[in-house]
Formats: sequence, C-alpha cells, structure tokens
Amino acid sequence: MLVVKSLNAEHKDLVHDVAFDFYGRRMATCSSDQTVKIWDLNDDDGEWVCTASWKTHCGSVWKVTWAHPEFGQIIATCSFDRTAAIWEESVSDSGHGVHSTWIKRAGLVDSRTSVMDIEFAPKIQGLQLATCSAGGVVRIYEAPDVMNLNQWSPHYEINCKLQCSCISWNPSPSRLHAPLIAVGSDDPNPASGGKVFIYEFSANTHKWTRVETLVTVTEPVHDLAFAPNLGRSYHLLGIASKDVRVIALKPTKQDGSQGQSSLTSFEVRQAGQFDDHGSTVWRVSWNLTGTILASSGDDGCVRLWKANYLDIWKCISVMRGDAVENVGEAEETNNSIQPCGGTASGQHTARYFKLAPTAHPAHVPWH
Amino acid sequence: MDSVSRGTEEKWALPDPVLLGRMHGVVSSLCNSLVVFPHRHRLHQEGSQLERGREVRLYQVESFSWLWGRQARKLINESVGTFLSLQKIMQEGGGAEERKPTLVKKCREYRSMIQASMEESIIFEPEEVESDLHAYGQVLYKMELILSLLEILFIDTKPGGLVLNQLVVWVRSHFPTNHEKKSEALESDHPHQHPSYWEIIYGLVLQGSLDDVRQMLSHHPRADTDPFLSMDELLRKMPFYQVYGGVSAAEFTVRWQHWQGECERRLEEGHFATCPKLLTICKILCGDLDTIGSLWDLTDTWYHLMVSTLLYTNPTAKLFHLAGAAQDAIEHTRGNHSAITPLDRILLAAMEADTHQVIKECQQVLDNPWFTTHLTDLLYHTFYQQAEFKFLGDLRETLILEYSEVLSGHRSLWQVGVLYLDHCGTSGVAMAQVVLERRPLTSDAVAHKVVQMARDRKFDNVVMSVCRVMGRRALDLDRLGSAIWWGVRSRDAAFTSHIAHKILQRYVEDGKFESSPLLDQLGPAMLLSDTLTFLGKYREFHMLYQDGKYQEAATLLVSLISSKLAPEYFWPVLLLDALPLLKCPKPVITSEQTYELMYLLNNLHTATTTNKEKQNGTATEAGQEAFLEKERDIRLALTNNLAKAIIKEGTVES
Repeated sequence: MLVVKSLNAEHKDLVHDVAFDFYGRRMATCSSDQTVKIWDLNDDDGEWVCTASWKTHCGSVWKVTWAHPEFGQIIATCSFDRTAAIWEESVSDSGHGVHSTWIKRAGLVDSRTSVMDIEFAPKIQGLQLATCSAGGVVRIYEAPDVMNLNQWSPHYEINCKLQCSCISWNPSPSRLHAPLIAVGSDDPNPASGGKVFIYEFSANTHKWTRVETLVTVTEPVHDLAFAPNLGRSYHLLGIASKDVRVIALKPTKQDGSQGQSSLTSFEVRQAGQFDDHGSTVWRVSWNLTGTILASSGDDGCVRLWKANYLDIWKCISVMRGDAVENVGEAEETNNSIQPCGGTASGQHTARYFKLAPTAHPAHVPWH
Repeated sequence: MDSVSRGTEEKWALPDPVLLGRMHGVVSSLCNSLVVFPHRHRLHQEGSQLERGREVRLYQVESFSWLWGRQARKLINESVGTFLSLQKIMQEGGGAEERKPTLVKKCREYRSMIQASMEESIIFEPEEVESDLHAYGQVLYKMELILSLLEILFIDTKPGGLVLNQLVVWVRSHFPTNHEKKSEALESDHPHQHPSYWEIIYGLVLQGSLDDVRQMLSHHPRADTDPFLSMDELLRKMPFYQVYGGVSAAEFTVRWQHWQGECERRLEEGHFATCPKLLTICKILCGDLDTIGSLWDLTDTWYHLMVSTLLYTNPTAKLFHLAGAAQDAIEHTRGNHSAITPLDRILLAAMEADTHQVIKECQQVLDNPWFTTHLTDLLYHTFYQQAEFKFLGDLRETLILEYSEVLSGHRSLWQVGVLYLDHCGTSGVAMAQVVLERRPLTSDAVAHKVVQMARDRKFDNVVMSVCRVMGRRALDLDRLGSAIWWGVRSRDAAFTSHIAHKILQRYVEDGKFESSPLLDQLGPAMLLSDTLTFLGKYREFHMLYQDGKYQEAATLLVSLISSKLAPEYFWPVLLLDALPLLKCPKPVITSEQTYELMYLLNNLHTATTTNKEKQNGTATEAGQEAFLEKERDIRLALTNNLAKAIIKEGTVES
C-alpha cells in the first residue's frame, strides 16, 4: 500500500530538479521560473514548509545540490545563464521567530555556455565542486578555507571535447580509491564514440586523467549517477540514455607499476540494460544505500529498479501521471484511487490519499 | 541480459494532469520515500511549459505496511530480542543436534509473539480503519501457520523423519472450531440433538481426536447397542505412533495395518449396516478416499484434508510423501478452475522441501521483510554449512539489510535496525555506519545516542562526522561554547581554533566570556589546538586571579606570554591584565618575568605605532585603543615592579 502526500510546489513553471540534504529533512527545488525554494520538514506533523524562495539566476535553473552538513548549510545551483552559484544560509532570530535567508557566497562565471550539471564532491575531498557545461568543459573548484565561502579557486579544467550533460562524483573514495568523476555527453552523433567518460585524480601528478570511456554507450546520455557504495568491491553507475543502463566498474590494479602513481584500470560489465520506457530516458537517481535506482523517461513514467541477492536487476514499480483529477470521496474510478483523509486543497496543506495499484498481475488475494 | 523486464512490477497512477507525460522521482532519506514532481527536461530553449491555471505539485510517496502500526511495535521489539539471543547461542558453536533445541525454542518464541499480537489485535478496540486491523490479523495468522509448518518439517525434525503426528497437532491447533463446537454440544442437555452432532463427530475423526469422538458417541441414546460398542472398540484400539515409544516404525506399521484390517472386516461383515453414520465413520477409518473426500468441506482447507487423508492411509508418512499428497488434496478441493493462492504456493513449496521457493513466495506477498528476515535466519542456522543451502547465507544478509533499512526510516526503531546489522557481516558494518551517519540529529540527545552507538562499534569516522556537524550547527546558531565542546570531540583542530579565536575576539570586544563553564571543563582536551590551549589557560588565569592566588596567576600569565601561544591581537589584553599584578604591594612578578613583559610591550609598541596591517578588524583596534591609553601606566608599573623585584631578590634574608 502506498500513501501519498501532495503539496503545492509554488513554482510558476515545471521543476527541473529536487535535491535532499544529507538527512533528508530539507529539500531544495529549482525550476524554469529561475527560482530556488527551500523546504523544511516539520517534525510534528511531517509536513514540508517552504522556508525560503528567491531568484537565483537569469535563466532556468537546471540543478541544485547540497553540501555535506559538516560544512554548514550550503547549496550550489547551475543555470542556463552560463553561471553557477554557491549559497549559504543565514539564520536570524528576530522577535518574530527564526528567519532564514540565503546569501550568495560566490558566483562561478567561467563558462561560456549553459552550465548543465553541478555536484559537490564527497566530503573526504574537502569542499570541492564540479560543474560541466554544454561546451564540453568540466570545471572543478575548491574552497581552500572551509570557513570562508567567498573564496573559491578553480582547481582544474577538463576538456571533454564533446558537449557535456551530466556529471557524477564517485561517492566513496577512500585511501584506496582515488577520486573519480563520471561525465556524460548528449552529443547526438553516434560516430563520436562512447558517451560516458571516467576521470581519475592522481594525487602524485595533481592531474585528472581519463581512465575509461564506455564504448557500449553511444547514444546521447542525459543523466548519470554513481550509486552509493556500501561495501561492494565495484562501482555501480546508472545511465539515462536511449534506455536505462546499469554498469559495473571493477577496479583492477595495474601490475608492475609503482603502487600509488599508477592509474586504476577498470573491468567494465553491463549489469542491466532496460528498454521498458520505450523512449528516451532523461533522469536517473539512486537511493541512499545504492540498492534502488529511479528512472524517468519520455513515456511519462517513473520506474524503480532493484537487484536481488544474485545481483539480477529488475523493475519493481512503475508510476505514471493520470489525467483524472483527484475525485471526491463518493466516487471511485477504475483506477481505484481512494482518497482517504483528504483536507481542502489550500495553498500549504497537504492532501493524503492511498493508492491502490492499477494492475498487479501477481496480485492474487490471500486465501 | 534483460532487455525488457515486465510483468511482475507494481503499477501505480498518480492523479494529476500536470504529471501526465513528464515526471521524475527522487528518493529521499533512508526510508525510501519517493518525491515525484512534474519534470521538465532541459531543452535549450526558454518558455514556460506549464499550462495556464495549473499548479505544480510535489508528491511524496511512501509505502505503508502493517509494520508501522501500533500493534506491530511490540512484535518488532520482542523479535529483536529473540534474534540477538539466537545469534549469541549459535556463535557458541556445536553440532546440528546440539543446536536443534535452541532453534526449536526460538521458533516457538517467534510463533508465540505472532500469536500474542494476533490476540491483541482482536481485543483492541480499533481506532484505525477496521479493515486494516482485520487484514493485519489475517497476515499474522498466515505467518504463524507457515512458521509452524516449517518448524515441523525442517526445524523440529524427529528421528526417523515421520511427520504425521506433528501435522495432526498442527491441524488441530489451527482449526479449533470442531473442538469448540464439541464442548458446546456436550454442555447442552441432549448433545445428540445438537444440529451439528454428526458433523462434529466426523470433523473430530478427521482430526484424529478419537477420544473426543468416543465421548460424543457415548451420549447417543443408542450408545450401548452393538454397532456403537463395536465402533467404540475400534476407536479405542487405533494405534498412534510414538517417536520414543520403543516401537519401531516397521512394527508400528504392522500393528496399524492389522487394526485397519479389522476395521475393514467389521465393515464387510455389516456391523454398521443399521447405522449409516457409523458406517461413514468406519469407512473413514478404513482410509476410503471417496468418503474422506466427500467430507472435505468439513476440513475447510486442502492441507487439513491432506493430513486427514494421510492419517488413515499412510500414518508413517515422511516429508517426501507430502508433495504428492498435497497435490491430490488441492486437486480435490479446487479442481482445475480456481486459482492457487500465494498461501497455498508457500505451503506447497514447504512440502516440497523447497526452502528457496518458500522464502521467495513470502517475499512477493508480504509488504515488509519482518517475517522473511527472521525465517531465513532460522533456516540458515538450521541448515548451517550444508551444501545445498549455501544460498541461505547471502539471502539472509540481503534480508537483514533490507529490514534494517526499513526500520531506519522510523523515529525510534532505527536503533533496533542497527542491532540486526551487528550480525550481518561486512555489508552490515557498512550499512550500520550509513544508518548512524544519516540519522537526523534533531536534538542533542539524539546526537549523543548516535555517538554512543558509533563509539560502541568503533566507528571513529562516524563519531567525528557527527561531532563536526553538531559543532558546525552550534557555530551557525552562535553558541560558541557548545561549538567548542563538539569541536573538541570531533578532534578537528582547524575548526576548534576558529571558534577559539572567535571567543577571544568577543572577549576583546565585550570583555565577557560566554559559555565559561564549558570552557573551564575542557581538561586535557584543550591541547587539540594551540589557540584552544591558550583559551583554556587564560580562563585558568582568570580563575586563579579571582581566587586571590596572585603569585600563581602571575606565573601563569607570564608563561602564557612567553610561550607565544597568545595570538597577537590579544597581547594588549594580557598586558592590561598584568597591570594590577604589577601594582601589588608585594612584588609577585620576578625581574625575569618583568623583562619578558617589557620585551612584549616594546614589540607591541612598535607594531602599533608603525601601523602594521592586521586583519583582525575592530577587535584589534579597540584593543589597541585601550592599550595606547594605558601604555604609560604599564611602563610605569613595569619599572616600579622591576625595582621592587630586584631589591627583593637581591636581599639576603638575615
């Protein structure tokens, strides 16, 4: 049984991205209406309350990302207006209660094209940020003094030679795994080769080097994401392209080189390829343990994928929008959606309802 | 490789036309709730895609299972206790025979928990929707049914492998209506006139409760006639196999066949010709499949029918006989028309000894892993290190991870989840770290709890991370003392220095120390960073001065100055602090120390007058102002003190 709560996003246009903070209790939404809204989860009633809303860019805001709470309450945004920005929350306790405003700490204006994706690096690397642009350049920035967010220095620039659409940091580097970043390109020409590149940072040479190109992915890639790694010996990458792909990258150490200075090579294995959307897949995102992948595509559905204990992936759930509005309690449509405990749909109140499945072939009633 | 994986997934529809054709979902937090929103993918053109008059809504989708109901809380808390004690005992080792009593005991504990919860859910006055509670009770009933069957077939196996006796007990305990009706009938004045008199008797025969049958029959008005007496004798003499009865299975079979032969003989000889009801009973005793089959609606389910049939056709049945008998019973009760329910499939899989299938079917039907986790754990320990059951190890770990992930979404049950992860190998350790790290730190109490649990498990990185986050949060709220305290516990020198500097700067501005109690209790932790050490020692100086221990205070002060621990912007303050000490009637500052102070004063004078640029802002300026005013006084006091000190030191005590 699914329970659904809905709330008014208050954006004037569709939403491009939703990001949760580390604990899942703060949410940032960004939209084509050029604003970002911050929502906080109220402990008492489990409702989301909008605590800040402001115009961040002069164009559509494509992505928003949170930094690790160790560094404070910080988000970064990237936009069609060719800039990226870093914002920090400032909380003031006036007589009328706690008031939260977000202050722009830095603007990153190096790109000459739309900045397509932005993501903070894993906290073990300090306060670092990566962006990628439609012009094919990945830029990595760093705040050398984590107490002073006004100073961001460009750390490195990677020219991917193809237009970039998405990046993803490997979320679990350690002393043993060097920092890795995956870049996806939505270049429409299949002849230009593989569209996913893996770059690795060498601490010795202080350079990012391309260590892998996924040649099996030749269609434009619109989104990709590394899965959180909880003890796996390999990395898992989810890719949104013509279809949904799950690729496993197993690091193998090169023989006969001097330990640390050698770059990792990878054994690439396709763990799953799914055409269920039957159309272009635009987004993929992982849950926090790296066990569930959510994908969405042009068929208007969101699919959830999960692997069983034998590492075989399959779709466990499909969700789609429906033209039928939420009807009153007296009516029951064919889809058997039963509103339950619904309140009036005011601006801020949430509506609850229980969803019954539309069709469940294996769903036979118990004896 | 699957190119299309369709068919078994659940399908849901969200009623919102804005979502039609364009949506994405992001999974939030550990409880795997999904936020779905109308998503616009990035085209390189601008322009609103939202239709007029529509609003954009976000949908938070969460799965709700009976596990979150109030009734299940006790079940969750009790089962973790049983789980943990089971792991502990299993770790102590021992062969299969030694482990068995524990496993049986734990299995029964699980069953009694389920039953208790079932009973409570019946008594409890539902404030929730009635159908939910009813459904919950149903699920519990089925779980207990399955578990008790598995206990008989796999865990509590008897030597020789004969299962029928246990199955009869199983059936009797799960279908108690017959016995209830029997008691009801016997309480009435004329039992034999009870409308279901004969049905009750047939039902009892089918359950092998022959003493009860005899009791019922004895109330019949014709109980002392021949047919009845004959029947009574047959019923009395039916042999029941005892595992430890000293009779071997082969010998029992002989006796039983002899008895059934006697039943058949009396049937043929027409002992019961006058009483068709007794005739029916005798036919049952003879194992006549048609008769037993015709009464199947008294058995209510195919597995009851199966057991009843076996009771009178093959009392020495073993596990491998069950699959065939089950199929027969199913065919009889259903024909080929109605579908097999998931419950049927699970019970069948059990009878086919296919534990993998049992668990898989349970997983598909149940909406949370509570049952499958504990069951797989039991089976894993039962079949420990047997080759064909190797898959149980991996499956068990996967299920434990899933179960604790489910629990970790809950406000208080997440702690229970972590306890399970302690017994889940390396992936359990990794998961436990994630659960602890991702726990929302809604209050100091929660933070302490998380730190404690992480410390117990030696997750130093988690401890540091949590302390850093709490320190950062305190800093943002301007609670500097609290920030230092967390900073120290996180062993983050840079962060702690930063806060210590802030506190010192505040003092230079306001002349006040906030959060002094916290600072005073730092102890050896203050050595984490130089600035912090200075802060701590400076506080000590204040305390000594307030206590009137001027000599020690002076020594401390001078050592602070000469050790260069003090940040430059703080030197004026130190010198100003020295002033009253210099003016003491009896010199407390020695000449050596006075030279030190003079040296410092000169340095500071040079720095101030040449206006070296220091980036400490108004704090330094304010300090510098105060300093310049007092400079003359300080010089004077220093010189006086020097004089007094030299005199005192040069004096020879006579």
